[in-house]
Amino acid sequence: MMELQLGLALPTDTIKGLDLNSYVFDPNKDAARSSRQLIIMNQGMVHPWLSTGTNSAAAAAEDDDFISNHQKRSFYDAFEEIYDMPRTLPLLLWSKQPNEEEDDERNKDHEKSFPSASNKVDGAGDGIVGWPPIKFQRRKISHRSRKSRMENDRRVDNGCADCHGRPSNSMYVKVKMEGVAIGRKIDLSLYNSFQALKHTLLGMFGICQENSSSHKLTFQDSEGDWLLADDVPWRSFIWSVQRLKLIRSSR
Amino acid sequence: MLRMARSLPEEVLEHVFSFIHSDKDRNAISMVCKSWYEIERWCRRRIFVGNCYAVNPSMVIRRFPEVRSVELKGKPHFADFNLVPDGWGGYVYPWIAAMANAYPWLEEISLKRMVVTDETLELIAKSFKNFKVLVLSSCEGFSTDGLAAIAANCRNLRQLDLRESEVDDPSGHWLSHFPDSFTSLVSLNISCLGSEVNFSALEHLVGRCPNLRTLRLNRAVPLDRLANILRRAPQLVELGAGTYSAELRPDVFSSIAGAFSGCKELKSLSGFWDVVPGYLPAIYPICSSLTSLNLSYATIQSPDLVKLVSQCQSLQRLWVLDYIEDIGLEALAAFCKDLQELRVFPSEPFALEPNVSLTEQGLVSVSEGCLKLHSVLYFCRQMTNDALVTIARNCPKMTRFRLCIIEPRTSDYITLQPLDDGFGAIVEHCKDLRRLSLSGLLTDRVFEYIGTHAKKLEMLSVAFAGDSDLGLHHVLYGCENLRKLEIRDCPFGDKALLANAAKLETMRSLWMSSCSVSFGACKLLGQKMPRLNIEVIDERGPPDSRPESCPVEKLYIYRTLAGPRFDMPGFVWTMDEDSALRFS
Repeated sequence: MMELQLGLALPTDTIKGLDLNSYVFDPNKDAARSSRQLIIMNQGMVHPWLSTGTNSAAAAAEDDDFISNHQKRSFYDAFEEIYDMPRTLPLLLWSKQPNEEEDDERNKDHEKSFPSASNKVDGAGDGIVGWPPIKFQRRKISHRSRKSRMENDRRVDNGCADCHGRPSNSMYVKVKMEGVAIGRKIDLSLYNSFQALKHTLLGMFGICQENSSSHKLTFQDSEGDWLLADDVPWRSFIWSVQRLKLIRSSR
Repeated sequence: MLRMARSLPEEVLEHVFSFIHSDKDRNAISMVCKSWYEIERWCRRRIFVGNCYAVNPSMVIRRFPEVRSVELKGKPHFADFNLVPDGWGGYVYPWIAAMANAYPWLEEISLKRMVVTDETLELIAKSFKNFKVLVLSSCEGFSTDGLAAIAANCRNLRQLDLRESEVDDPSGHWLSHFPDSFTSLVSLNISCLGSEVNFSALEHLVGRCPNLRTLRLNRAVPLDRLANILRRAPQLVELGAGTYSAELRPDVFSSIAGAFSGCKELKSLSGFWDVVPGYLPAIYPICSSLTSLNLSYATIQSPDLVKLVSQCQSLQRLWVLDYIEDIGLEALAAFCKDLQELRVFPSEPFALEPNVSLTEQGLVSVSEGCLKLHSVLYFCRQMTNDALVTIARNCPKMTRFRLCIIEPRTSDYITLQPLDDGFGAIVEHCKDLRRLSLSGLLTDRVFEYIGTHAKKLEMLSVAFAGDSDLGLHHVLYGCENLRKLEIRDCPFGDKALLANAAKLETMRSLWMSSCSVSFGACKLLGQKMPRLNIEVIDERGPPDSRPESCPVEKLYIYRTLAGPRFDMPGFVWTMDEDSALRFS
């Protein structure tokens, strides 16, 4: 293995008393102490680091008043002071357990606290990117069975007992443009005409609309054949499309 | 005489070293003394680079001048789930270009999660005269044109394995580029290709390669073609069928059944898209000798699965969809006593309601009946602590345990408690556990258990779990053998990361996305830890356009001797000593 042995001194059994259970929030503790905590990076350097009081930097970012009240120094200022400490006794003093304030926030709406992936809609999911963690080839199975469910749903009247709680309507396919290395993805369920689709696709790749005739839209069907999108009715296109490609019209 | 006794001649040492194959052992040998280092580096033939950005090609070539086999990995594991934006990196071309000059006798290239272009494949095809093995696992960026170049030029090719790669614009004609004189193929895996290959070219290829042992066909190969192919390769050991569906006809059935019976060496089956159950009995005659069965694309319902697995008494590995249900897993537990690895994939991963009756009970049954079980990947919709404790007690030899409860933060459905105790039991009882994936409702406590007990753990995947930095701290502090840690959507911030900065140099990599690590902390790490690359991946724009305390979208930290890389796209920033200047 090319991964080399780095041989850093790491805290092992030489650390005594690192009882993590003792790091429990005690509001009666010295207020002054809790405002200035020591964090030791495991190379034995000790850096004073102003705790923001909460774990979530995002929460702090949302409240400028909070920051100025605690006179938070920049990271660089904080880390310039170095205290000597024996290497074998790196301490880890947490500030108060940052749980109390956070609990309510967290339970309310987890996604708001963190730059959430939930805002981006993934291939075929219900809103969380990359979840559940299955590779794209395996998503296709459900994609196909869902497509046939979609077809069934269309044929059945509303109020059908067989319909699942929520029709999974999104239909992401990959789209490439000739000459561009990186592909994109588009949700075909949002469209019902080639014109609208092509309009969006050209926009994705930065082609301005005056030049829309510069490219033709082609698609690969369920049998693997590549067809011109304009040659087939929209309905057949939607039921068989696997992926899209924009090719230059001069071809 | 004393002098002679002290040192063995180089040739003798080299001969001894030639019996040592594992990288770990070879690394140990090379550290004994300078002369052993020298001898070893000249006779190392096989290298593995787990992160292509941890070193650069010239370093590798300088140290190991006579390499025959190279294995490289590129993107982080979460790239499989679309968490790494397109264009992040992992380009293999610079490696191939360097090796084309340095290793003219290179025989094997194995790549995982790398971007491979047609240009790369063409370079491989013309640079290595004795090229034998090409494995492209979860790679992308190339088309069948590149494959045609390989087929046309690699006269001694033994293995071409495209497992799960994304191949652009596939057309079937590349297969015809294998010349008629080409007969050396041992293993061919084209299961990921979308388009039809030229069937007569395929049959001819199969027929003229007498050493062919592994053949994994793609979905576009219909059932009626399968019989012809099998008849030309009765010596096959591993077969991936294509589409296993056709109109039920007795003549077609007996043709398939006959072809399968003729393959006396078959041990492994895969493929089986779109199964028509009426054709399943065609494989019954070979079931008893199967050791590996991958039905994870096969839409077979549980009654047929039960009939199938109950005939596979030699089965060691089963990959299957959750159509197998608890009842099928009970049959598995009853009949397949040699089972070592089980993977159950979701048939409807995005449905809100369960579509099959697969629960925690299925996995418990298997853990009770299959005493050799040591590798599990299980997707389900409900779990209890009791079930996990039972599984842990039944399988103390578990080495890989990955549980995915589909809905994030799902509690024990009976007690409504977090699943901390269940996973705690897993790490406590399974002392050899090397890989673990968590899911369900989990607090910091589960990480305390992990840090305390999972001493052999090498890879941990965490999602939607934990309460605070203490959780991350437990893991970084306690898991002595941790090499890869990947985290998404957890409330972990700066503290644990900064407090355990040195730990990061002992690991291959750390991935954190949708967590709370601030840009300021990333900058600090970049400044203080020159042997780490701290990559901030943020599609919202430059991180310095937001406050320093603002969390980054995604963070990828890996140790490296090669310094910051130069092929980063616009949405990736490396934090290094200069970033203070750049970003202020």
